[in-house]
Amino acid sequence: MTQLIVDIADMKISDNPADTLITYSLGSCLGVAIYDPVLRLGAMVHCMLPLSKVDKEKAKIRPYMFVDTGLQQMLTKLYESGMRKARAVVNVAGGSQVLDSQGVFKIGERNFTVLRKILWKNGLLMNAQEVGGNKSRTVSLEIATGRFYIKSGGKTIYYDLP
Amino acid sequence: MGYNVLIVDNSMIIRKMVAKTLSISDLDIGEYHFAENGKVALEQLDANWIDIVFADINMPEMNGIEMIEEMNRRELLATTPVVVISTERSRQRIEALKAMGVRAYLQKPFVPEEFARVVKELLH
Amino acid sequence: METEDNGLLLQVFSSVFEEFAFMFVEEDPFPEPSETSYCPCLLAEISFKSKDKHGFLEVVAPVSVCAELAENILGTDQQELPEQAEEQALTEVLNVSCGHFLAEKFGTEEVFDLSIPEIRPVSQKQWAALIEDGAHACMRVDESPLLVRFVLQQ
Repeated sequence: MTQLIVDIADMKISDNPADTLITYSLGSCLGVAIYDPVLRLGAMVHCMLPLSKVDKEKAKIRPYMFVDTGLQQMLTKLYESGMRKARAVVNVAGGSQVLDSQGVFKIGERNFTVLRKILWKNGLLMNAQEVGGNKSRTVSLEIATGRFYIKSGGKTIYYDLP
Repeated sequence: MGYNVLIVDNSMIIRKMVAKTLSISDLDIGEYHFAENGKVALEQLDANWIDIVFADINMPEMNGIEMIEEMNRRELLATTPVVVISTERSRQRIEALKAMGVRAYLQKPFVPEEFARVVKELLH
Repeated sequence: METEDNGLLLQVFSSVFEEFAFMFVEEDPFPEPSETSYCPCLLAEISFKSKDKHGFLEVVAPVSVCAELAENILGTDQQELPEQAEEQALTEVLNVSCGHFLAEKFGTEEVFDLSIPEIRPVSQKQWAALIEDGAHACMRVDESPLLVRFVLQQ
């Protein structure tokens, strides 16, 4: 088994059944995993901030930093690889209430709101979602099975395909 | 053959939003019918086979409560499941809706995932 | 309008805009009356009544905000918006906000009847007058202003 690490502001895509995509320590950041069970194709993104309009130049270089550009770009890559919308299984974790630089807890919540916007626009519903609270979460996606794991506070839970 | 649905709301925005949510849920939906108030909804119910009704309460001409009362009076419509989607928050009104046989109550704005879950439970 | 209502209005509108249309509302205590580049605007009003209370809730927003509301609620692009989508989006947001606001302010024991919301365009002159009269809670949706007024006539 190979672990492909999804760094902060990064995205990984794979159709190799030996792979597991993993991203560590999601606080207010969002980790989104999308999987096509027929192709056994999956991708995972780790986004930091809700909207790319705060820094359009950076969004061009690092689209996965932002939820709006990151998620849209990940969907484009998945569709290019043959994913069908009707088969897509979307799992989401993160968006915790972590204090931001202005001393408010809004980033995690806003990340999730923008995620819902992009999913709704693309006609996708979420399968599993573990968001909010004040936890740090590590998530992984098994390409062979589509199983989505969330590790937090010493416990691991998982979601199978619906 | 899929489930035929009737979406009753005076707001076109909500009618479209409900239809979109149904179309992206993995539910087997057949025909979509629409009505902008209770009166038009009853005409649609007379003219078509409808498996489930999604209705608002606050509508002109005939509101959702009057529509459900009329459905309950008609033998052929009394068992058609109704899901109310409304801004209503009054505890008394929500209890009254349940007493009238409303199968589920969703507050606007509804979360599509929650909506899909409730409808799946009702139809399966 | 009582000052405490302004806080509650902000809380309710911010939650409804975010949940319904994925847009972020913040307080804007000092809008500029002479700034009318946001016009044309729309004013929507809904009235309510219970056994012993009646009044209305009003919202004024630039048409561009209403268009974005409609796009987001429907999850579609501007060129695909159906006719009158802007008006219907604002009235539906007002309808939902009114239900939330009344429940937050008076609790869920009281039974309110809401009217069907009405909507009309607002000229540049009227827009400036609405800001100057100080009767509205002033908010901001992204870069655009939003005015809200709650009136209780006991």
